[in-house]
Amino acid sequence: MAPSTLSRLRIGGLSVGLLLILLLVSLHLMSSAVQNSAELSRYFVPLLIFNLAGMFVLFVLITYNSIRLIRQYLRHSAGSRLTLRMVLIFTLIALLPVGVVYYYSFSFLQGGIDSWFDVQIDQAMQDARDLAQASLSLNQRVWLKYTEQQLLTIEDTSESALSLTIAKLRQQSGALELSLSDPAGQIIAYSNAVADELVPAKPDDYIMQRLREGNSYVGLAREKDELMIRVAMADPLGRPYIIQGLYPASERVSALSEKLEVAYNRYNELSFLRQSLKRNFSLTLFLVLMFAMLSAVWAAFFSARRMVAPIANIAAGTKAVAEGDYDRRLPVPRRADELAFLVASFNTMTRRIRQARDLAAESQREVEGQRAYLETVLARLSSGVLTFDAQRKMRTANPAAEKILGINFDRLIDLPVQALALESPILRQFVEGLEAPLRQTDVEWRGELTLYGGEGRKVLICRSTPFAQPNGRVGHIVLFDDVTALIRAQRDAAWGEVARRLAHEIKNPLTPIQLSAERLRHKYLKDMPKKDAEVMDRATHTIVQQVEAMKSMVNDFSEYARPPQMELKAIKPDNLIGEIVDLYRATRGVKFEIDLSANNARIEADPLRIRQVVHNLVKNAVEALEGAKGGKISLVSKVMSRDDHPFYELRVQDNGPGFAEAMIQQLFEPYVTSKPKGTGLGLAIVKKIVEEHGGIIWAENCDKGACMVMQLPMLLDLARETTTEESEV
Amino acid sequence: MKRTSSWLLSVLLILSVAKAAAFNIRDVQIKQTDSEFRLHARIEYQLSEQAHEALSNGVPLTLKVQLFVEKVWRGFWEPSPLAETLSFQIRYHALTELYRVVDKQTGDEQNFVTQEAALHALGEITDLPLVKLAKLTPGEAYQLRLRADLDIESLPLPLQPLAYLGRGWKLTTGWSQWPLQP
Repeated sequence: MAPSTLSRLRIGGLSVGLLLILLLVSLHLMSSAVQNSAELSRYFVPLLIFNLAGMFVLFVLITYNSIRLIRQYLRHSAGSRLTLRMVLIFTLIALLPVGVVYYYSFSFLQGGIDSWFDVQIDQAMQDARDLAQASLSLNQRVWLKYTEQQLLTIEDTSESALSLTIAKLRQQSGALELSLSDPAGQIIAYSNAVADELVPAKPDDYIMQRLREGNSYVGLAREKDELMIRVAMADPLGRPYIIQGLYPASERVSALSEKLEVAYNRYNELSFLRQSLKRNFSLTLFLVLMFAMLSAVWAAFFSARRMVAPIANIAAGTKAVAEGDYDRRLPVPRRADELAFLVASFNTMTRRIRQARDLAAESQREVEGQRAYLETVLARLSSGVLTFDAQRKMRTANPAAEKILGINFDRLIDLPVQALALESPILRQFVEGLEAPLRQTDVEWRGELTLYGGEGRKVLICRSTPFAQPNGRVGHIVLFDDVTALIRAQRDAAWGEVARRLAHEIKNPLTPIQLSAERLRHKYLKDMPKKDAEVMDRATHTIVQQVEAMKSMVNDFSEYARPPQMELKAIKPDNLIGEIVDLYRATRGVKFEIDLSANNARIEADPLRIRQVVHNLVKNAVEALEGAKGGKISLVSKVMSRDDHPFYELRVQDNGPGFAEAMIQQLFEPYVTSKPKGTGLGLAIVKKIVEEHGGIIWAENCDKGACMVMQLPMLLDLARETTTEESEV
Repeated sequence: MKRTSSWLLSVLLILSVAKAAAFNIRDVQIKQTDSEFRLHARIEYQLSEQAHEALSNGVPLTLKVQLFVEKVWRGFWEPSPLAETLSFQIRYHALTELYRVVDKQTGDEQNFVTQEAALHALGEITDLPLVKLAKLTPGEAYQLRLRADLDIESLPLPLQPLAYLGRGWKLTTGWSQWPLQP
């Protein structure tokens, strides 16, 4: 934008400068034409038209520039205010002296020309003419009287006699010419001082008309540059004669008259031309004034724009920099002045800002990259991470922290730690546990926090580490892991060990006890009195029955404690589930709703154990519906995905009373049961099998009834799928 | 009715002024002698108010009569047998109260007591040798083009701009053509 402005200014300035020079030359020629140049006078009108056209072009240019400047001013364009102010100042500075000069020039012109024609001189010239005319008039009257007397002396009638008389009279009077004619103008007699002049000067129609009307004529005439007095008159005696004489004035009078006539004519002419002269000079002066004014205004525009252009560029550049555009470079003016220095400095400044911005952007990108890396690491961490600043406001929370604490931290960022306590009971316990460590600024803290919430008891291992912030103050990083499952697994393992030892220690004496009881019964029952026999029978029966029960319990224990020895195969669990449900369809009072949508899902599992799991789940549901009317069990399977890993999910739901809230967390622990005859090992074994297959299982209360959800990882090895297809159960 | 009369009078006055400020070619006679064509013409010069005022104040007026004899159908490259401009000057002398008419071609001077007489004398072109027959092609159709006007360029310099721009100074008869058959 900026370079084109300067080049446009340069081209426009050259064009208008050329026009101004042409106008100046034209005005000079026009001025010469007005003053004294006869050659140029014929070009006056073309010059005038050219000047007017040129000034009109200038006027249009100035009008265009003015409108453009006003529009720029109204739009608050960069530099428009300064340009407008400079144009006004330049114009005023130029126009005031031009106007003053024009005013006085015009006054001098008018007064000067008028002073040439002073009233007294005017009157003197008039008087001189009147004096000369009076003098000549006296002379004319004398000659008129003399001619009349001459005519009266003529008494001849014949033409020859008249000719002689006329010649004699001419000689006597000294006339140049004397003639006698009839009223029609026909010459009767004629005499001339010059013998060669045979034809008399014929009086013009005006004189003849006067004579015909009976009047005499006397007037001046000029013959061969000499002043003459012409007299013509009819015969006062009534004879048909007209006499006409041409008498010379005296040489002195003639010479003076001629000089006076020339001077008077010249003065009269100049006096007449005075107005035209004034008008012409005024017109020329006005054109010069217009030229000066238009040139001054244009020069004001040109100078202002030329001076303001770099400033406007700097203003626009500054605005661009303020808006974040550091790539703009301003054209440096050619002339080495302060403006050029300013523009060069501006360019240097923007270049350095640009470099700094690029460096900052680079640093920002690096920081962003590191931050993204850190966030990715934090997101993938299974440990919860929270960071607090020196004011103990929370700055960061990773997804694992949200998952462990069951809180969405997005809206809690930047809140002080005390505010977090208000969010939920579990968070309050967590914050209370951390309050003391967060006050320590130099000691790392490790500890275990136990939280009680809706999902039951949760045990967290926490570490709080102080770290120095960029401002020198100390913040804290809190890492914590949910070890509830780990503790539970340890407890399960301990229970397994107990069960295994119990089974081992208890199972061995059971068979001898049972055998001994049966032997007692077999040996003594038949020989004992009836009353004793009844007691014996009942006692031994009880012993055998209880031993059977203990065997069953011990078998369950051994099953629970049995180390995993699985025979894994690729199976379609939906098929397996369908077969098992068919066994329970005959159950009275229970209706099954089956929606197995994961037909093609395959898992790698021991089919016998999965069958046991499903048996247990369905059996539990059936038992939960015992005695209830309109019992309904639904089994729904589907394929789901978590973190791009597909898994198989089975939901077994009944419309029974559901689980007691207090039991949900301990439901899968050994010896936890709500049934009168349950061992409390069914769901513990189910969970153990599911976990042995890499899956998870949990219980929840649905809208109506209880729901058990089992998720197992799906098989992705297609090759193995095809090979194991045939071995499906 | 009175208003209508006034209006008519105004129109007539305007027409009369317009008529007065005009040059007209009243009569043209072309006579063929044995060797040449000769022209008799009468041009009516009626000065405008501005020209009349200038003349009365001693400003000399130059009247220009342009004469062209040329073929009716001619190419632009063909020269005209006759291309002549006659100039006459009329000037009023206040001392003697005479109008002096000067024939610029011959230098002959004539004095007249009245302006009408002087203009009348100016408008009389009598027996002016026009073109030699030898310069013309027999049988070819020729024409005489004639125009008389007030020569503005001969006016005094201060008056010329006004004469070019102002009214009352464009006095001309316009071009008139007359056939010429040798």
